[in-house]
Amino acid sequence: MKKLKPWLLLGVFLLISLLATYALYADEAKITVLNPLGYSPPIRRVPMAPRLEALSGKTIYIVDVKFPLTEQFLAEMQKVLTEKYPQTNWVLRDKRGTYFDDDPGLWAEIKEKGSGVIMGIGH
Amino acid sequence: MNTKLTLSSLLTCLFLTILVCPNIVAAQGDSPSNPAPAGKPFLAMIECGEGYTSQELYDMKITLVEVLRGKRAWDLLKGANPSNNPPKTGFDYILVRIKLEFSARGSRRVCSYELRPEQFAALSADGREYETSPVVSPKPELSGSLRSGESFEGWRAFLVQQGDNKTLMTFDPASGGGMSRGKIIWFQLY
Amino acid sequence: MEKLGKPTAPVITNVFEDLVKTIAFKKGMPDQRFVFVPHPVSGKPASTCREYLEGKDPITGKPVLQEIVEVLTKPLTEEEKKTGFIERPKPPRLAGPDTPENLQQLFLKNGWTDGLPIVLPTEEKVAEMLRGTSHKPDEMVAQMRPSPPHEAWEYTVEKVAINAVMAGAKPEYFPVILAVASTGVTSLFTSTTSFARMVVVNGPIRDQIGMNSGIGALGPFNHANATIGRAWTLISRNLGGGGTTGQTYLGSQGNNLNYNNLCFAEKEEELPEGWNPVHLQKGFKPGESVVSLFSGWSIIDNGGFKPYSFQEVMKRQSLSFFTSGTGNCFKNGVPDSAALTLLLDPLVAKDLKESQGFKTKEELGQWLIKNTFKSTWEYWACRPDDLKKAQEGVEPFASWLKLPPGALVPVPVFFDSNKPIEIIVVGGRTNPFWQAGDFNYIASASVDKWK
Repeated sequence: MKKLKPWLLLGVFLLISLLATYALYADEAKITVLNPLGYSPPIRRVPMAPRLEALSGKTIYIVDVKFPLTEQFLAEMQKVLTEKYPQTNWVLRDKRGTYFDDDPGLWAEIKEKGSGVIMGIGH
Repeated sequence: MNTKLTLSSLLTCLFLTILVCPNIVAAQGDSPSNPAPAGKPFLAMIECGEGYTSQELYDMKITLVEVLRGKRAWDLLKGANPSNNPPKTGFDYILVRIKLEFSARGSRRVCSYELRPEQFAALSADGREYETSPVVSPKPELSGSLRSGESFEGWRAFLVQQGDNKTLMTFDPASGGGMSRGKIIWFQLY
Repeated sequence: MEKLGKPTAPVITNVFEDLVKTIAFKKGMPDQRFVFVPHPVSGKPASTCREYLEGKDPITGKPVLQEIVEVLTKPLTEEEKKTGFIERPKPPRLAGPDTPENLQQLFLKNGWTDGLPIVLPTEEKVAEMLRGTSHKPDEMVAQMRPSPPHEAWEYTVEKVAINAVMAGAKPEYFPVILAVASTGVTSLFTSTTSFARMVVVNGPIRDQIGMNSGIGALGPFNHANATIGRAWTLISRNLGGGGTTGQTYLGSQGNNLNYNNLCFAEKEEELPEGWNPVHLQKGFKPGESVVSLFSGWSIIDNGGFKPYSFQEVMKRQSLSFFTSGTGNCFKNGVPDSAALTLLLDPLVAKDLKESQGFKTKEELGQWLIKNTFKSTWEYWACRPDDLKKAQEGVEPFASWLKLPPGALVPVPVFFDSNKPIEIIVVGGRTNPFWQAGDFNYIASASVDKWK
């Protein structure tokens, strides 16, 4: 047993050296790089508007955002909703310009005269 | 000895951390937790153009020149228009004077920036937007058209809750029917 | 409208579910209620539209009409009433440490590449790239968004450098890449129509960095052309928030030109006398180095074969672009927005000047604008109100209706006089060919500013 001790110690030492060398080489094979992503801005939450208790007696605007060749969908929507909910005033309006354009005049009208909005439709 | 060693080590670590750590100090104004203060110009970028393929980038330097609250704000508003009413109970007026300087980066410079009061909104510290106050601001109001190279200074009034001491203001060029776009900029009104 | 206090029911076609929910979240309405119908509705007859409306939402399975009513009337949940802010964590500055192979996979998996292997942006490589400019790494360059409804991201010089390294660019190209990035224009515009972009470089920088304006200039044969164009795509993905299919990229088929964005140098040395290079046309001075960006969808290669003159062939070609170039069909009262960009081999430019008499690029452009007319079938397809007038005998529409098939209506294709026809000279004189595309000019930026 006494004779084995130095050999045992040598063996443990060699094993530790091998492990350390492996770890060293393994680390050398790894690199760090810079992240290419940009920063997204913070978001301000917009609380949703209070909902209507009922549609009866209300004016709901149906706004056509003017994507090409979709006007028939909104026109049909107005017909169908009028048939199903005749106690509600369904007003169909075209937004100004193309589908890119804003229409502050229409929004102001809806704010004054409307109770709710349906907006459609792209494609 | 041990205490000295520990303290030295801690200080060294702190020094190294400051030295080595990435310096991503966010620019003031880019978030509600880091709003831009009054007096310091903030450089915003605005996209302006027609359609969806013609957007040009413009620089807008915005300075929150002055922030008045309470009696000082009301005194100016009283003088601005006889129809202005005192703030309702539990509320204060905040009156801000803002300077904007608009310049194109590209060669076309065709866009004019449509400045509207609605592009500036007041928010409480917890993110609730205050309703637009019907009060008439002193002249000039923040409204008009800016071409590249032009600047404008005007007033905007807000009605905010009296207890709200960390009121924020946002500038959003896409608000109020604006056709331009840009990141929302945050200012502190305190 | 929700901000104005009006409950709103957006009705959307179902393929855009991811897109609209992403945009609603970024606009501060993560709980926005939607109603979906089958896609598409564009061009569908009223009977089909009624079927969709009386049918079920393809996403939720609920009846569409019932859902519209619910969106407007069902009381808000506590979540829907929330105010406050959503701050998203900033991405870590570093990625790794890991093996290069694993990092390549990480970049690919995270959607940070164009699908091709990249040059890994180590700190050393990025520092080397930053030596290509005098601007500080933390200087803000611009902001960019995939299209107007989306949020804009800002980026610094260092961030542009990282993406330039990834593209394989050299530091001497960096001022050109910064100039492109400084415009804030994305190369990955998110329309369902699959946009393409073009980068034209003018001025001394072309030779300084070894760009190609001759044989194969538009092809994969030059390091600077390839990597500058590629860098723009990577910047648009990683710094402009673009390129996430279904959310920030909706191009139905995509566009192969997005890999390199048609990046080339104009062959200024072979411009006919009187024909100005692009940057002079855009207001810059001789001796300045400039990048100019263009937007469109497609490019057609054309040969100049007699007996037709080149400009006559160009007239006919311009009727072929049925993207949103010459084939626009907006409602009456909304101007068409036809566009045309010609990339002429120097042989073609020489012939147009010497044999056909076009003393300037602008003269050729004006001739095409004045002499290119709409075909009858396109005109009536896009102008149903005019067709009705023609059928009622109203002139001149009634006479135009009597024109034989294939004839041209005397209404110019190019409506918008604010958009000139763009003409660029590039190529190696091996054949009198040119490429014509439905591109229009967007912006230019000084390269010298970013040196």
